This record gives sequence, C-alpha cells and structure tokens, in this order.
Amino acid sequence: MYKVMLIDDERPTIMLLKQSIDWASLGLEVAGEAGSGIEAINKIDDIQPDIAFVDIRMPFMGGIEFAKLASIRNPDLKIIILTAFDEFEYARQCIGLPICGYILKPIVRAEIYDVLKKVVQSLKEPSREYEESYGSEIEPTAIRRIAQYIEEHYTDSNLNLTAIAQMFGFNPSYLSRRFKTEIGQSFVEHLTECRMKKAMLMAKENEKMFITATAVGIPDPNYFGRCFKKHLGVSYSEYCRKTAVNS
Amino acid sequence: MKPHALENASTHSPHSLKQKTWQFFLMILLFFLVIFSISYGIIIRRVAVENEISESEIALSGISRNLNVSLERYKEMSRLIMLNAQVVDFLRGTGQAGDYNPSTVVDGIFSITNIYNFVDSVYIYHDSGAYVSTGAGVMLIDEELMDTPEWQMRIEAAKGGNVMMINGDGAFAKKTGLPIITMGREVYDIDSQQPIGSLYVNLTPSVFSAAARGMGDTREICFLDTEGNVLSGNTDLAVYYDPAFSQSGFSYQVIKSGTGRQILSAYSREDVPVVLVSLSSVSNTSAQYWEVLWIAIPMIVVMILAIFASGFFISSNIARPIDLLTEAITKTRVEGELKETHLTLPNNEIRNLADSYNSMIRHINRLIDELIEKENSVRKAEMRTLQEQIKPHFLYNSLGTISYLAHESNAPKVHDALETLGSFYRNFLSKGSREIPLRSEIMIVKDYLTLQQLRYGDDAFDVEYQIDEKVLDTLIPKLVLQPLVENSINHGVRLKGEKGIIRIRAFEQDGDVHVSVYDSGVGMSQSRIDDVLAATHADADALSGFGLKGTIERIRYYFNYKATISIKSEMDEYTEIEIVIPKETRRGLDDV
Repeated sequence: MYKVMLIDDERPTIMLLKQSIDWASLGLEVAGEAGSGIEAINKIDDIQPDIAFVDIRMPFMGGIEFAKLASIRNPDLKIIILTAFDEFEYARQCIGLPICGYILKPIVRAEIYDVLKKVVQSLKEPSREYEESYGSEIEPTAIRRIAQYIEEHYTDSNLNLTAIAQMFGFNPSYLSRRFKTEIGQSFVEHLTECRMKKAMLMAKENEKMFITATAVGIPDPNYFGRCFKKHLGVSYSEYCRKTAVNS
Repeated sequence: MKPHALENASTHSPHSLKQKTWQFFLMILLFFLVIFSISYGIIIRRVAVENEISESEIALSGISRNLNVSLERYKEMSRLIMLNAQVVDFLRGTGQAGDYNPSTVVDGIFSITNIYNFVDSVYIYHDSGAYVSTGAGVMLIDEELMDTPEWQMRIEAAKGGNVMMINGDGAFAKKTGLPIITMGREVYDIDSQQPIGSLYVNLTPSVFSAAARGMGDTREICFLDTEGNVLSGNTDLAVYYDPAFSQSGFSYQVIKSGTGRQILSAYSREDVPVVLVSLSSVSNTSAQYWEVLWIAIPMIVVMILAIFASGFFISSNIARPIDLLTEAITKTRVEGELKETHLTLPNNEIRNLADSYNSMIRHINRLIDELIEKENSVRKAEMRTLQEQIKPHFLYNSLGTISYLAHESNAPKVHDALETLGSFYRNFLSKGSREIPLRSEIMIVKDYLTLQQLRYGDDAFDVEYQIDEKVLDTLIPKLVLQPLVENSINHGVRLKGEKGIIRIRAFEQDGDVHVSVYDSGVGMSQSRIDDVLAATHADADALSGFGLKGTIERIRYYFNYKATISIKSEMDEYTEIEIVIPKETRRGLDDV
C-alpha cells in the first residue's frame, strides 16, 4: 500500500477524490489530507506519503511552493498537480520539480485513473540508489540546541524540519528520528507545542484568532484553528470565552 | 475639430487665382498696347521722314533738271549770237576802233537776246581785247583777271563749250551787288576753225526762280553758289549752307525744331556750280498713318479676344476645377466624414490632385478602420480574459462541489453527468485558443453527445466512433466538429422521430486527413447543400457564426481555402459531411 496525501483548500474536492476513487484497487490508501500548503508541510513528516495531490492555487502557500519544499524533504515524492488553470505560466514554474502529472479541474475520474496507473507503475520500479548521507552524527547536545532554537524562533512561519536540517547540516529524516528519541516528541509536535503555548497566552488577552495565528507562525488561520482544537480540545473562540469568564 | 474655423480659413481668399489670372492678362494687354503705340509712332515718323526726303529729292532734282533745260536754251542763244553776221564781222575784223560799229553789233546781239528772258548782259571780246556789250546797269569788269593764263586756260579747255561761272568767277560784278550767272565760251571762226574771241552771257538769278516755278512746287528753295552766297530764292535758308552740299548729288539732314521735324535737303550738279537748298517740315497727317492703323486695329482686336479667350480657358480649366475640388474637400471636412470626392474633372494635374486627395482619404480611412479593429480586438481579448478566468473558475469549482454532493447523496448518475459536463466545458473553453488538436475536439463531441443522450434518452440515437489514433494530433480550428454533430441531431435524426445513428470518423488517406460526421437523419435537399456550401468570407457574420454555414467558412478560412468540404445526402436517408485536410496544410501539435 502506497500512501496518498490530498492537499486542496476546497474541502469538497478532497472528499470527492477520497470517496469516488477506488484507491484500494490501485494498491493505494489516502493517508492524510491538508487544507493548505502550510498545513501540508507541517504534516508531511508525520504522514510520509508516496503520492501527493496538490492544488496549485491555495492561500498562504501555493502548490508550487509546497512542491519545492516537499521535494527537498523527500525526492521520491510523486506530486500530481490539481488545477483549474491549465495555463502556461504554471507549467513553466513546475519545470525542474518532480511533477508526475496534471489533473485539470473539474475532475474526471477516468483521467485520474490514467495518471495514477502511471505513477503506481513508476513507484514499483526500483527507486534510484540514493547515497543515504546521514550527515554527521547528531549529538544529543545538538538536538537540545535545535529544540532551543525552535523555542526561540517558532514565530517564523518558514520554520520547518527541512529548513532546520539544512541550517544545521543534518539529513532531515535522520534528524527527525533522533529528535523524537532525544526529546520524546516529534519535531512538528515540539514546534506546535511552542506555538500553542504562545497562542494560549494570546487567547487569554482575547486577541483575535487570525492575529494570533500570524504571530505564532501559522499564517493560515484555518490550519491554526484545527491545530489549536487538536492540541487543547476546544476551539480558539471557546477558549477565549472560558478564560474570560475565569478571569 | 471645429468645422467653423476650417470654413473661415478656406473662405479667406477663395478666388484670388481667378482674379490674379485676369489681372495678369489685363496687365499684359496694357503693356502690349503701350509697346504697340510707341513702336507705331516710331515707325510712322520714320516713314514720314523718309517720305519727305524722297519727295524733296524728287522736287530738287526736278528743279535742277528744269534749270538745266533752260540753261541749254541759253547755250543755244549764245550759239546764235556767235553766228550773227554783225558779231562775226566784228570778230573777224581787226578790232581797231573805227573798224567796226559797236551799235550795229549790239543791235545784232539784241535781235537775238530779245526773245530770251533773264539775260542781264552779253560781252563779246575780240582777241585784241576790244569788246562789245549789251545790258543795263553798271558792270565792274576785272580785266586783269581775265588776262591771266589760268582764266584763259579754263575757257580754252572747254574747246568752245560753255563754262558756267557765278559772277564770271570774279571777272564780272554788278554794281548793285546782285549776283549773275556767267556762261563763257571761246568763239571759233567758222571757216578757219581758229579762235577769234570769246563770248560771255550773264544771266539774272531769276532764271532759277523761273525753273523752280516751272515745277509748280510751293516749297521754299534757295539757290546758292558753291561758296554759300545766295543766288536766288529764300535767303533765310542761306544759314543752313554746308560746303559738303556742293558735292554733286542729293544730300539731306533731319533737323529737330520746336515745332517738329524738318528736312534740310540739298542738290547740286557737277556741271552747274549751283546748290539747291530746301527746308520742308515733315507732315504728321500722312495718309499712311491710317493705312497702318487699318491693319493694326484688327490685329489688336484679335489679340484682345485671344487674351480673353485664354483667360476664360484658364479660368474654366484651372480655377473652376480647383474651386470645385476645394468646395468638395471643405464639405467633406465640415461634415466630419472622410469621404472621397467624385467630381468630373478634366484628365490633368487637377484630377491627379483629386486622385491624391482620394487616396489620402482612403489611407486615412484604412488607418482608422485598423485602429477600430485593433480597439475591437483588444476589447474582445478583455472580454475573453474575463470569460476565461472568472466564469470557468467559478463554474469548475461549483461543478466539483455539486459532484461531491451527488456522490454523497448516492446519485452516481448525477455525478457522471456533472463529470461529463465539466469535461465538456473544460475542452469547450480550453484556454480560449483558436486551434486545438483533433483529439480535444473529439472529446468535446463525445461529452456533448453523452449529454445529449442523457437529454433525449438512450433510444434517440446511437453513436459510433471510427477514429484512427494517427490523426488525433492534427490541429483544427476549435468547435468545428461539434456544430456539425449538433446539426446532425437537430436537423437530422431528431426530425425523423426514430432511433438514428451518428457516426464520427477520422482517418488518414494518402496523407490527407478525413473527418466526417454521418447521420441517418432526414437528409438535406440539394438546394440547401448548395446554399450551405456557397458561403463565402464576404458573408459578414459567417466567420463568427457557429451555424453550419459559419462553421464551413471557418474551416475554409483556417486552412486558407485549401481544405475541401463535401456534403453527401439522400433525402429521408442520410447526410454525411466530410472535411478533407490536405497533406500540405495539415499541421500537428509539434508544428506550432
């Protein structure tokens, strides 16, 4: 089973894809979904998909930018572009990215099956031999330093595993594994925890959600909202009301 | 643009060309008249002068001849004197006093001279020096002079002929001072032919006046000797004497005086030491004046007529056409509509001007048209951009959402239909491009037919596809097959009321691409076929239309009228429209 990730700001598109395509028959499963490029880049380390359907036009981070970052993180990722804009300008921006297919909206199932068959075929082929360079051995002190760095710079929305790995000169996958063993939570969990702590403080100040979202480094307020609820079990507005009542 | 301003500018001096032409011709006419009058005057005066000169010559030479004739008569007289018996006796005698009786000799002479006028005196000299004379008044005789050999030589040299002298060249002089004309000759003895004496006949100057009177001419004449002394006639003229006059022949001078021109003419003869001088004024009322004028006046009239004719010619051939042209151009500008002028102009430079103006107007109009067209196409492009970017995006997302709802509600047929509709529109609107590969067009047709089958039901018609993969990349103008299929449904199978067949074929034959749409519908009449195929690009809305005619014209236009379109049909049986794209005009995606 290869893992598929669906990224689109239109919820119906994700749902339609998820439900109308017989994924299992192709040996595929939908392992995750994201409503924006930012959400996707944060989740991708946890999901580790083989195939990603990406909408080109999304707020905060478009499909092209996501594809650039994701392909650094995982060069083997098969990216399929979903777009209503079959225009040359987008095609030009995709040059040099590991894009293996375009699906034009509105979706026609036959076309998706055609594209997926080809992609699955290419996944089955023995992948290129990567020289798995793990970089230098990561000392526990380095991990602590990285954790420290996160705590200081989490407000930067561009902060992610790949970027940190590059900055400190480590392999992202290796760093991810070492991080979890050393800190006890994944890189993304740690980053999100830092952001949520700050968000709680701001919620107590009755700050508007989208301002808090930008301030903590998650400029996509929808994704921020989901993160907040997942982390604290209540929505941002509820939390605001409760803390206001308490005080 | 302000039409009024233009009008003012053009009416500023609308007829100056015509006026100038006329002014110019009038000036030429005036100039000609002045030149004519001056030259006429000069010629007339010269003619009058010459006339007067020749008249003077005739008169003077006539008088001179007359004088000669009368002098001949006096020669005759002197001969008679010589032959007179008393004179002969006197001369043959010794000449001693007493040997002759002077009074008888004088009588003898008188008997002859009596019948002649103007004889002042006659002197007959005997060789011895004795003489007999007739005549009244006191005569002073210079005998010393007469004795000189030079004097005698002159008489002898004439060998008996007459020698004309004034006052005997100084030998004779009247005491009164009146001049006399002396005719001297030597007298020979008839028998011995020896000189025996000499004879001098003195004549009074009245002989000249008589000669002049004989001519009946009234002009003032003065007779002068070779030294300028007045012999006879008008003494006032003596002041004009010039020694050159004594050269024989006729000479004249033109004298300008306050009252006009006068001709001073002189005449002299070799054998007579007398100069005739006359002064006559030039007549200004000569008949020749009028003679010349009678010729000149018709010429002037003809000339004036010619100038008026050419003025009229220029006015009607240049000024008038230019006026017309200006009027037409002004009218065009004032109306604000750039129209060509259609004047009937002579085939010359003015017509060239009008033609140039027209071609300029055409050029301007073409530029304006181009501008309008460009503006239109820009507007069209803007419209298309809006259509392509706003409408489809919203439409596609909505279709996606509704598809999901249909799927959720377990309505797979609705989902299918929505999917087909989405696919149709995606291809139908594809990027707004004008040309698409045959593959996409066939997709459009498939989706279209699927939707139409949903609409009319499965038993409306069956669809068959016979498509050769090799031709699917051929580029064709967008939406040419779909209208043909639409035509097959609406004007073919639907009208028949029974289940029909629509067959789409695309294949290659000898490199040409054949695409055909067949339907088992009601068929087309030959006249309808002819009408549809007769569509031309002149058909204004043909290109923009998506009807059968418009579609056919778009195909022809796209392939530069090299693609052939044929319609085969049998009434109530079938219709098949076939497009053949020749090898050479065929283009694929790779050629773009």
